[in-house]
Amino acid sequence: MSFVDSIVEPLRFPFMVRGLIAAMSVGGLCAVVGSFVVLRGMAFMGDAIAHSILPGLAGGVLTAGRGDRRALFGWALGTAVLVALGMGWIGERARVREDTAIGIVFAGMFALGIALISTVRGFAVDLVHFLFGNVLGVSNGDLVLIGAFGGAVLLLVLLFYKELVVVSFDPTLARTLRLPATAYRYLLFVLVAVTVVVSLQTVGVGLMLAMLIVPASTAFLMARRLPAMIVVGSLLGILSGAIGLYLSFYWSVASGAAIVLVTIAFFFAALLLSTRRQVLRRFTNG
Amino acid sequence: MRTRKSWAASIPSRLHSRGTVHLAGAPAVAATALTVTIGGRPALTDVTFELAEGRQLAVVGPNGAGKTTLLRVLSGLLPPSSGEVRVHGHGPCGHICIAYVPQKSGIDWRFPVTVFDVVMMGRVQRIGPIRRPGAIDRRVVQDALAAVELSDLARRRIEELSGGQQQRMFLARALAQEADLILLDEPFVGLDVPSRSEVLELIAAVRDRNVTVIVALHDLGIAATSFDEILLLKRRMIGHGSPRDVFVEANLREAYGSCLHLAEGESGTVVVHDTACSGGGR
Repeated sequence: MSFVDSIVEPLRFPFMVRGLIAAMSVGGLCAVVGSFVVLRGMAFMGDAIAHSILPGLAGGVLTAGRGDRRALFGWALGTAVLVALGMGWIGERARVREDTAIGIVFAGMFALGIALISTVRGFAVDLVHFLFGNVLGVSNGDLVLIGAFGGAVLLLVLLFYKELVVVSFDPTLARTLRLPATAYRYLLFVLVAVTVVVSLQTVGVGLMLAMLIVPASTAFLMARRLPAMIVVGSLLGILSGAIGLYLSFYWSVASGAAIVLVTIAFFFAALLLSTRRQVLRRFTNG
Repeated sequence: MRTRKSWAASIPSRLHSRGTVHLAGAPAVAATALTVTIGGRPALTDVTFELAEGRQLAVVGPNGAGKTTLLRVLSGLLPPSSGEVRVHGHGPCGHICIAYVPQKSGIDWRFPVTVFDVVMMGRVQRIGPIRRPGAIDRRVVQDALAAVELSDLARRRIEELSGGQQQRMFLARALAQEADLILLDEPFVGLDVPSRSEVLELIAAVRDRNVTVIVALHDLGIAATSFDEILLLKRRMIGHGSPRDVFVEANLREAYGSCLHLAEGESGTVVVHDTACSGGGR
């Protein structure tokens, strides 16, 4: 079988085409938002938001049933946005460290979610899909949701790019410039929350963090400026989504895991290259 | 009427439309009975002073005297417990013409931005949401970089800058912001002597732009030789005026106690050695 054949062959299956579109979109989207997550050190928060969606999904399954994808998406989205705003609010006001506040919300919501979903018959399958994703089960309706909400996130990043950069880079400057810094901070949290929900079906909660931070970190090693980091990161995310899905097709491994392992491979390749470049530079500088 | 600096005269007026219009005839800074309490303890008590436009003021005092607190209040970042700040006749929070460079800026120096990018950040509010920087913004940024002699390093990543270059970049950002009041907190800490005098010269050069400058520092020698006015602080105001008027023995003993050695210089000026038993001095 030729290389071209091995690329084209899986596309005979509609579920593979949909899966590919989903994986590539999510890979690209996660890297864009992930660039801010990486630079602001919000990795833990991203992971926490992902896990905290569970009670929302359980609520959706209990009220609308697991067949109603739109309802489940709505429940997940509502929960994620609420949790993101709540974490920001607690981090601002509570007298505990921000990571502690996030951890408390994270653990509480996850436990609540497991408690709720354990009352549903056959919850083990729901839980596995939630944790590890089910990219090959993506429907056309899901793709529309991914496109609409992912597109909205990208549009907001594009429109408020320079403000998001200032708020991430130098909060004090944001305040002396009289930017609505708190509003932009919350906007960033909400963008992370929406991205997590959009990506949920592709990689699942367990591997969500990787999609947010790994391609963006790889790009951080390769790019000099933030716009380049975002572009390179999303290209790597898209590429990882595609390669990972093909690997999972031919080697019959879990798709989410395959995608993440590809992103990790890119990261270590970039790490090796960048350290070699640094060593070279140090050497040539004497 | 206040006059616009010559370098900005060519810039279309729409850029000045944001923020508060300055009150004609009002001093650049007027603080009245400022009192700040942080965590139940007084950080500043009853500080009152005025500063005319274009003047350069050094805020000095021992560690914990409230220098940083004063700058934060003047910038509008910290509301005073009582008393009032007026900047060009208005409360500080309405202004985007105040630039504040904290001592510990909390910046991640590995952030993938260039010197140009950081200076452009000073213009974000003037550009306005959704819009992108235009030709005018780029020119203002280039002017600001030229003013602090950083044009050559515009494309450098910020992690590659030396301490003096970092301070110059922040100064350029304040200029790009078109700030009329620049607040610098300990800009000389950690700088070697050549870069210190470089930054000092650049601060002095800002005078041509009619910008008011307030610098918190602990080096009394720099304060005495390079600034128009001194504000001596030890949680309350001990003195405000010209260096000669403020740096008298009684004031200095009150501020620093016995940790200070005074000596008469050749020209009759008081040479001050801060032995800094409170720590932090060099």
